[in-house]
Amino acid sequence: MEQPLKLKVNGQFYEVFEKPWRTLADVLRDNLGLTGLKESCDTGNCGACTVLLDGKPVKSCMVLAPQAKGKEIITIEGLADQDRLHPLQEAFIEHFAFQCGYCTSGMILAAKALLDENPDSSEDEIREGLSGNLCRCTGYVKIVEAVMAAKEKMKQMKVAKNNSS
Amino acid sequence: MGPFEYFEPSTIEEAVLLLNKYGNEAKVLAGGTALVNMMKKGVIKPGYIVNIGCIPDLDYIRIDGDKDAIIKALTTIRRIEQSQQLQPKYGMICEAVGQLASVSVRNVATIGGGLCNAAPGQVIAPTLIALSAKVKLVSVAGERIVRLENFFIGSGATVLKTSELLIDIQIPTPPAHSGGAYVKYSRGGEDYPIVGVAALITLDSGNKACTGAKVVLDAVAPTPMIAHKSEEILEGEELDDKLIEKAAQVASDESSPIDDVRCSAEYKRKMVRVIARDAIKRAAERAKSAV
Amino acid sequence: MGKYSVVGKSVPSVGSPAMVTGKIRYMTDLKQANMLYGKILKSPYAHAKIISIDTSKAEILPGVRAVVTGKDAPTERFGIYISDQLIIEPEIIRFIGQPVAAVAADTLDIAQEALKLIHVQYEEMPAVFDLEEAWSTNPPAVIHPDLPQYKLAPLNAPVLEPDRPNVTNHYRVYEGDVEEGFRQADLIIENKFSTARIQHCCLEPNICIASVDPDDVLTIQGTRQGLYGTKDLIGRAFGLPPSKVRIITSHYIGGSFGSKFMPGVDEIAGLLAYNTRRPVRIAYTREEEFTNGGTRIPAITYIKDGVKKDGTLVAREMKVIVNSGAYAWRGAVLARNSSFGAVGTYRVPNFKYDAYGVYTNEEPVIAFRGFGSEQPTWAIESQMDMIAEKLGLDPLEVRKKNFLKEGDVNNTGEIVHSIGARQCLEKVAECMKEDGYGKTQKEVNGPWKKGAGLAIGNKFSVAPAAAVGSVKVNADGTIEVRHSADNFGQGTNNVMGQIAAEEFGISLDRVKIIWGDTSITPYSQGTLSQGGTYHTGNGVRLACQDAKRKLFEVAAKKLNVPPEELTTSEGKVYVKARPSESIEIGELFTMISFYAKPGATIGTFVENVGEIIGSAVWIQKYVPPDTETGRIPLDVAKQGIRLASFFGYEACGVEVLVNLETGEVKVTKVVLAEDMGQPINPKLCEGQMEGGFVQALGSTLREEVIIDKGKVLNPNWRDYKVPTTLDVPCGENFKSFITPVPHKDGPFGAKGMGEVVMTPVAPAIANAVYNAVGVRMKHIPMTSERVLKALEEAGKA
Repeated sequence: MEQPLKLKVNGQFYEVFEKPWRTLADVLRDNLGLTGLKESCDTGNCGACTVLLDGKPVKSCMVLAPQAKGKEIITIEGLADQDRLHPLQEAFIEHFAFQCGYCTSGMILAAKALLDENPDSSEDEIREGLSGNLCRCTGYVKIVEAVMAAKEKMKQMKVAKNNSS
Repeated sequence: MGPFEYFEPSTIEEAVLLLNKYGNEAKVLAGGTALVNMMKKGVIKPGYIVNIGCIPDLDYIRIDGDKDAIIKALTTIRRIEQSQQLQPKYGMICEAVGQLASVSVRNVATIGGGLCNAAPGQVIAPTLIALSAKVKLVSVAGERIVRLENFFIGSGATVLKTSELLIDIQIPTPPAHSGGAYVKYSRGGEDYPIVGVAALITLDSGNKACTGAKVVLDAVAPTPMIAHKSEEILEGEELDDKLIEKAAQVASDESSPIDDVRCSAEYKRKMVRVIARDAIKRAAERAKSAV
Repeated sequence: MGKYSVVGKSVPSVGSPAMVTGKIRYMTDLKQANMLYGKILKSPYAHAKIISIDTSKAEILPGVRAVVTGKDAPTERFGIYISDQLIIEPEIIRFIGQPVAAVAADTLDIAQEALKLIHVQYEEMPAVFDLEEAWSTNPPAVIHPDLPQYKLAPLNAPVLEPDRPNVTNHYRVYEGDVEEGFRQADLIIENKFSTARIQHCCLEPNICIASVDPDDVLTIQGTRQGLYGTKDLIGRAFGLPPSKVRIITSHYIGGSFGSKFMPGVDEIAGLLAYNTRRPVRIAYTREEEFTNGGTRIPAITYIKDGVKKDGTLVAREMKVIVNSGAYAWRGAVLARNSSFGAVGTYRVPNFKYDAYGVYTNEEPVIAFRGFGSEQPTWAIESQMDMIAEKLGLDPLEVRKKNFLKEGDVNNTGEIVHSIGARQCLEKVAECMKEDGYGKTQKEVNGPWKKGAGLAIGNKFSVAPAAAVGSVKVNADGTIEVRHSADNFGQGTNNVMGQIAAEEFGISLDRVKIIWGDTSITPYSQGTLSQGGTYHTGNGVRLACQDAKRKLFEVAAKKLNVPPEELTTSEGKVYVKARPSESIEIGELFTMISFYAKPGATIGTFVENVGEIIGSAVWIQKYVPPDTETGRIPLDVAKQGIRLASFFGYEACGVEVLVNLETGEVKVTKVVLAEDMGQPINPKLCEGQMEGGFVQALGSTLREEVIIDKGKVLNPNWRDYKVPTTLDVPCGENFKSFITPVPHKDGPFGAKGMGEVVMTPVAPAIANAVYNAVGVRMKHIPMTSERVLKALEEAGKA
């Protein structure tokens, strides 16, 4: 029953042999050891398993692994640039935007997709964009603060990059 | 989940041959948000999965003058939500689908999958029914067009034969001086609707009397429900608040919701009145400002 | 505040980069070699006898390594207040979902298949679900007929009621004469309030891996809350001495809020581990979290107040009936704990409080953040507003008039110390006024009505309590702290680290924390009852001071001064009066010659001493109250003995919009002010306040575990709706203030704060709803449907 499956994750290619009914979440976690994404609700309602597929946030527990063939998959482990944290990761630390941390991977990736698509997202748009990611610890206040701060930082970095090129 | 045999046909022909071969044992995988959920829960246990996601040219929107708009089955809900092509003529579709679940679901869920899943409160169908949409179904025997209001036969049930594939949705140009709206009432966020109402209002050229009204209720019957009596109240009349209230009350009376863990049928029926009123009013206002 | 260098500062969380890069390992990520997967077969009936169980087909399914039933489990009952539990019951089923059998198999799928092959014959018995029926003298079912023979806890033993066979505890607090008080009152007001079950909905479910090593030590690595409490309970469940039980929680855990005190996965995995001699992992599904993971304790509260026309409370009578579910586990103790919520804030000269824990044939309840305080506070703080309205007084002033003050004696006989109720409420009221809560109706249109309301809550922390801290000074000047408080995301390690860093005058990154392993870390009560910072923080602080004494004794010899003249910071020991006379901590260590090279820190020791290790215990002394009155005598109180280690306080003010057509309630502004004593890390405190508010918001407006004849109808996050980003007011519309009143016994004056955050929210929202639309909600959650019904009944819809 196992079938070969080639996946591109965080810029690298992996080949796994797996049953086609395994979800993308299971393959990323169990086969590739990328345990940053978490499973929590069993019904696709919490967003803790969020990864980016071609830049878009998806719930990896509701996607069969073969459906991710040929797509760029980004997990939380692939967000930092070697030792340099992404502005969202830095902002989450500076703004105390996590407590138990279980939802954090999914939350950061959902926020990244949101800001990549709309770098000028308003606070309301940020709340709307994160409404599929549940957190039981923080009450979301510092999460939204962190994303707003990261938004500004990302805009500044873009301007700096444009100026230097 | 599983076990199942897994196929990735690269053409529609291959796909329908597989569906014909395996019949009831096979399920079509499009986005998978509903299918994977049901398989994980053990609600369904298909022996064969036909992933149509690899078939090219099933993922686009085409607007061509006054011809019917075409939305192909694998177009994601998110793409439809953000489509500039659909504005402004079909703006109510973008408004409706944007209220489905959350962004991460809409990135994966497809319009074909959503319609074939046929869950009450799925948000998409009522708007399309209000716009008199049709679906094209293809099988080894050929193809047929079905009006969307006739496509649903029960909760989770459609006229789709086991060997058929839904490949596109065709939406006629709304008449001139039309405005549409979809209003969803829920507990917020990803919650499926407690009540949803799609309304399409067409006014005469003087923007006075209503020449056409479509009121379609969501989540208050096993299938999307056309509130015929409510429509009759509106058609041929000048729309004012009092008339709209009356039509909304009639829609409420027509609806047949059930009790569920979120709220009672009685409460849902009351909300039909409120939401139908809001939807009809918004549609009428948009009709007035439409070209 | 402001006088410390690390304590009181918002230092970023320990381990932060790992948190945001996916490198943290939770229980869900851990595996062991040779591990099996366990699944539990659960009863479909609420009250039944097991007639037979046939496991033969399951046992022979390939890949199944063990099948256990009640006959394989120890027969000695265990529990906290009442020993009414067994790991698996052999005979009687008492709730839908009760474990009947369990399987360990090579894969989860095989284990799941094996469950289907186990055939159980049941004989159904009459059940009781209605709380007041269950409480009555003649209930339709007696759930534990052997209750009078069960062992009870030696301290604060539950008081049973012979003529009410389902009562697990009748706790009383009586002072004065309430009838006389009512005679003196100008106004008598009485109401009934109620609260529903809510589920904690931690992101990480209950998970454990149990294993038995060749020395027969049962090790449970899991998500259980209360490290040493768990060790004790597991030991009693299996009949094992403490030396044969090891509990490990030294990984990260995705939330608890009290849920992870629930017995279940650990005990059953342990049983399977004994039967297979292999590690067995059991993880609850999200559905099992709802059906077996426990819920907040639903309660009915009757409250009758007698008040003078100037607003002075003269008498208060309360009866609280709490639904324990089928086992007493935490329901019995809640009857006692709820009394603290009722006595902690107000001065009431004539007071009668009766609380009953009651068995029903529903899923057992478990601790939930705010444990016991929410239920009486919901009633009291709603009624205080009703009193103010009836007397034509300001709700703020009516409360302030009746607040206890420092030095007062409360209804349990304790002398009040560190009570920030006034400061919290005044801060909230001030902010509500400045920000125009409930005003500016002009932007409100159509069916929406605006209103504002406030409330004050308290939460006690349990006594007696004890916590040991263990601290080692390393040759490189870093400090190692060992503690056994729990880590569920509250920042426990930050708190302990900051305390140690403050004591040693170093930065937080120079402190290493080891926690959560009964073989390695010393005893503490754990993080429960809002007491992590206070008890374990005290233990750690005292241990630091002990370590410093030993450090100074060693350094004194080198610096030739008496140890009392020394102090330490930044890795050096120096003379207080002459800081230039100093020595690096490393220089106090001798290096064994073959390791000696610059910068080496292994192979070092302190001559004559070995290592510099400080160890100390913090004990919160306690004397049990009189069982008839729930009070301690004044002479005992004057010795500093209290029934509660401390009380924390929080005030909440909200602005709401209420829709007259749909009954929806939206919170548009919120302000919180909390007294937690000295905040150790203000940003972490704010995080608790914000998170607690949103969790309470869910339980006030929407969350309810719906149980019908014992069956949970909404055991998933599709139907049970947890708050999202869309439910929370934005930016400047959400304010949190810290208004601390230091506690003389807390570490650096700190108390605790993680639970009180739940308590004032529901009544504040109810008061705001009343202010907006004139309907008084008495049950939470106040769903849109319930609010609409109330509006219709009042003719306001």
